Amino acid sequence: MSAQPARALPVRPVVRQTAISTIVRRTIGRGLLHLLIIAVCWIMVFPVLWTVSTSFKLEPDIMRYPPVWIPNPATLEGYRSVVEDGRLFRYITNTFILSGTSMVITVLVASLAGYAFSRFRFAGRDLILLFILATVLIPGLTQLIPLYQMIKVMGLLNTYQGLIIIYAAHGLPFTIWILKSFFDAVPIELEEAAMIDGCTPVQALARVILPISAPGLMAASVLNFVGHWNEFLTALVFTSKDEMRNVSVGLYNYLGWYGSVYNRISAAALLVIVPVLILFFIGRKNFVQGMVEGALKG
Amino acid sequence: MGVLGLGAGVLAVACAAPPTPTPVPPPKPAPAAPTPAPKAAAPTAAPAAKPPAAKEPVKARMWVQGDPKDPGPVAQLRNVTFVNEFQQKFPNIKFELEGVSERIDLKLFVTAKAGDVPDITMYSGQMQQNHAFAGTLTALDDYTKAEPKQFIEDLFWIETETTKSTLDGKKYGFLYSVHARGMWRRKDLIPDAPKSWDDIIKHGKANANGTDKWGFVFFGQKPWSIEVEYGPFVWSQDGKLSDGKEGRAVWANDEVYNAVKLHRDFVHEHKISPISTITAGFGDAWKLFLTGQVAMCVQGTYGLNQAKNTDGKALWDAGKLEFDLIPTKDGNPEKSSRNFGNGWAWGIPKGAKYADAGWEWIKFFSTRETQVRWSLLEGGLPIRPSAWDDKAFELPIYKKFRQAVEKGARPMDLWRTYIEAIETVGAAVEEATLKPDTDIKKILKDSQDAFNGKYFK
Amino acid sequence: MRQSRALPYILISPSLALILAFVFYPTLYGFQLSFMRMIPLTGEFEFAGLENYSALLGARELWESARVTLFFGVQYVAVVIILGFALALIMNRKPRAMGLYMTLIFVPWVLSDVVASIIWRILFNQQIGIIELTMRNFPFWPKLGLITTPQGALWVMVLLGLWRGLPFAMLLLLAGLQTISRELIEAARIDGASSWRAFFSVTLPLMRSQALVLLLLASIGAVNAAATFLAVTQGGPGRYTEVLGLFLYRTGFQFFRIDHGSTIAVMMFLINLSLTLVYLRAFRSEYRL
Repeated sequence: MSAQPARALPVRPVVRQTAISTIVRRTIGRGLLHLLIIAVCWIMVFPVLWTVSTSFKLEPDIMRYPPVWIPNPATLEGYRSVVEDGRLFRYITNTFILSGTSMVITVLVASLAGYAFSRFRFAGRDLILLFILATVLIPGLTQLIPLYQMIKVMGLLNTYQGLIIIYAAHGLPFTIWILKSFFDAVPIELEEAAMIDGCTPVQALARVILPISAPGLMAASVLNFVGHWNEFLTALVFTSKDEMRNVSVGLYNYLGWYGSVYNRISAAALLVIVPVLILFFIGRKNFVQGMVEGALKG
Repeated sequence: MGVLGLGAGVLAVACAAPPTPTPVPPPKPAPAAPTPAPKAAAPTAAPAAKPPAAKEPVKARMWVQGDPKDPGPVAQLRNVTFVNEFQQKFPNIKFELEGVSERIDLKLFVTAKAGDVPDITMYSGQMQQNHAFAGTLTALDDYTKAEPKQFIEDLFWIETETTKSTLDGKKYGFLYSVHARGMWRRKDLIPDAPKSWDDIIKHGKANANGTDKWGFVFFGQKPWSIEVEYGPFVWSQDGKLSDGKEGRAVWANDEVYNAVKLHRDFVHEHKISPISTITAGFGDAWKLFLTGQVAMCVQGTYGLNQAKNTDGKALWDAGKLEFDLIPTKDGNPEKSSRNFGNGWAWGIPKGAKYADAGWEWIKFFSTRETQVRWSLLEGGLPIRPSAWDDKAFELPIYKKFRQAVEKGARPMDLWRTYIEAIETVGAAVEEATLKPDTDIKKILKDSQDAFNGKYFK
Repeated sequence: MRQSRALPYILISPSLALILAFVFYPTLYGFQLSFMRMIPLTGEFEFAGLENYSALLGARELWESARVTLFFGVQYVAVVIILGFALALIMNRKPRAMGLYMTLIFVPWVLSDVVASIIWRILFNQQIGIIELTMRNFPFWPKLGLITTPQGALWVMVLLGLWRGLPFAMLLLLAGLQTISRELIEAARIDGASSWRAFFSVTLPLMRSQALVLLLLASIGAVNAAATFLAVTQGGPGRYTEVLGLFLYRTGFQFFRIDHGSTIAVMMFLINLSLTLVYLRAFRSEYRL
């Protein structure tokens, strides 16, 4: 894969020529590289673009063969009906509240635990960590009934808090893992210097480690946010008031009612992903950097 | 699955599960479409108002499928008009409506197991046996016994059969309305109703071009394909899916074979049905028909709503849509149109706080007057045959509906876990129709053995 | 590592409390249910010993689903790792406009399962799907339509998993690649190793822990997959895409056999656990906690 030009070039009389051919080769190499990446990007994005195209189509265009990319005539019917209906926006707001809050809780709580696992040796440490990580292996479907009982006892059915606490708890194991490996990568000397200056370990965490680990926190946040944005079954079962629905459940209802009204269902699907896409775009740099720099190095 | 969508993967694992567009088995409320209620639902003599049931004002919870604020006329009639009328009649009961998506049966099950249920809920009529099995519903026999005899005797027998548990013979709910399945067709393409299987093939061939015009389309996706599509074709030959006693599977028989082979041939040999029909969902197949690409389609009476008000409006207004009995194998009119009769149902979950309020609602909903108004909008027939003569049902198509219900409607074969049975046979049928050369008999036999092996060792 | 008495426990206690209450306790309940029988009509539970286990192990459906899951899992995991690696190597050359590329590549990862499933159903729809309609002209494409053939439907799901999972796989591996210093590879090449040799003898071995993490996550994801299957294929045609997760969902929440459903969940947990142990063993990982 790596096509670096050989390093030790034998000295030849026609150096210039070699240099030119190297430049040419590099340029072609770079061109090919970009071509390849653009192809990959296209594959990743075209399903979404096709959905965009479908969302503007009228029935005859949707069914047309061979398929057409540019709707003619284009229609805003799909969007109009979704917007007029209005419920979707409530669902999106709900999901923001749910995902955002549980993300913050998870990352805060997990960073404390991650710090403890990264920096302290204490009785039962390995066992507890192993236990926490093993919960990732559980298929959670059968947890529904007992969780429902608990949330009911706590009086949190049909509330944001009920779902938030469940999401937060389920996001923890993986987040602890990520943050721990992130903190592992932070040189311990930095912290020791802070402690010499009189910081307590918790202060050191807050003032030294967390700021340095900002990309890692960002990565963990994005992972949690996207994960919670996605959630379906708990939201379905734990909320019965329409005002409390999240987007997955709302969209699912759309699918049931308008499953074959393709422009409408496409429009709804796109409206749902736009906010996350924007957020991802804003946080992308930190997220990617965070993942690349530290996460999951073991 | 989200897999490496990590957050997604791992978190969703915690709650792994499924957004599915399961075709709504029972009649579904029409997509929002502002249509004037057809010919003001002339209410006929309202029954004498009963005295308020509860002494103290109660706030009872009601679960309905979908969104309580759904602007569609069908949902509005139930969620607003009826609820208001009910509350005027029973000032001591106030209903709080909660909307549950199409997974209402799942949710009912989970909440019943966790001990937190509404006082009255919709559920899928065909899930009756599963609900009784899992103990999610209250048996209503004590309530019905206290009512005048007429109250129960006036119910259509399908209603009673469908809402009875096969395990203890008790009645666990009341249907919303009775629906039957029939053969919808394009009158302009096929003027006379097909009578036999050969007729379907003949007319189908005349109207299929193999690319975008098809003679016949059916909804083949398991498990509901069994009740809507295959069941009628089996029953009209006097065939059976279960033994009707213990709930043993007997679907590896000639009648089922014939029905499956017929459908396989529709697709592969006669090419009157598109290949996509084998796994087509409820909405997909019906939409193809309503948008004019198909000449025939088996669908329930609840299809009327969509035909009249949304996708099929153009064809309906032009008088091109017609409903008839499902053809029989040899065209014998005596056996015609054995089809699945059912609907959504009302039930009182086990452990309901204000079960009495729930019962009052059931009674209210099953009165003749309410039934007539409801059925007119929703598309089926009232659960009380005495209401069928109401002049509100004069539209010619209702005569056909009535014929389909009276002559052919029957409940599904008896099983303890109905849905598991039709899922099993549905998967087998889907597999058997996939290719022109499948070994239908073996596939049916294998799945029958697998099902019986689980319950009858 | 510091020694401290109380502090670490205080730090982990909120996490531990939440996990114990909202993850572990409900799991225990499910575990307990797997040894119970649901009594018809009352819906109550009674002790049943290993009855559920023996009933399920004797059921054809379980083995079919296990086989489907295995096929899906092997294909998915293999492809996501290989392509993820290839993509990571490409991106590791830090092309200009990397930020833009990264954003585009990550689009499918950000989508929710429901949205992704809707898109997939449209793409492969036999009436309107652009992939289906375009590819139908090629002789190798099944006449039935990809999603209607047993193997094809599974591929549709592998493709969906790949589409969603590739971005993250790439990123994980990219993270690994960037820890490998350029000098190391160049040193190997000066010693006369070809690019390929250098790749196999230097790069790959250093990527072990990343590969392990990816392998674990992908495998667990594949075993537990259910949602998108239910939304896209419903397990069909026939039962050809009825993966274990879907089987669990149907049994527990559609057939209302929560006792059997819980048993399947326990089995899936055991599968995940043994996979994890096997991988750790195979990688002879000194993977430190």
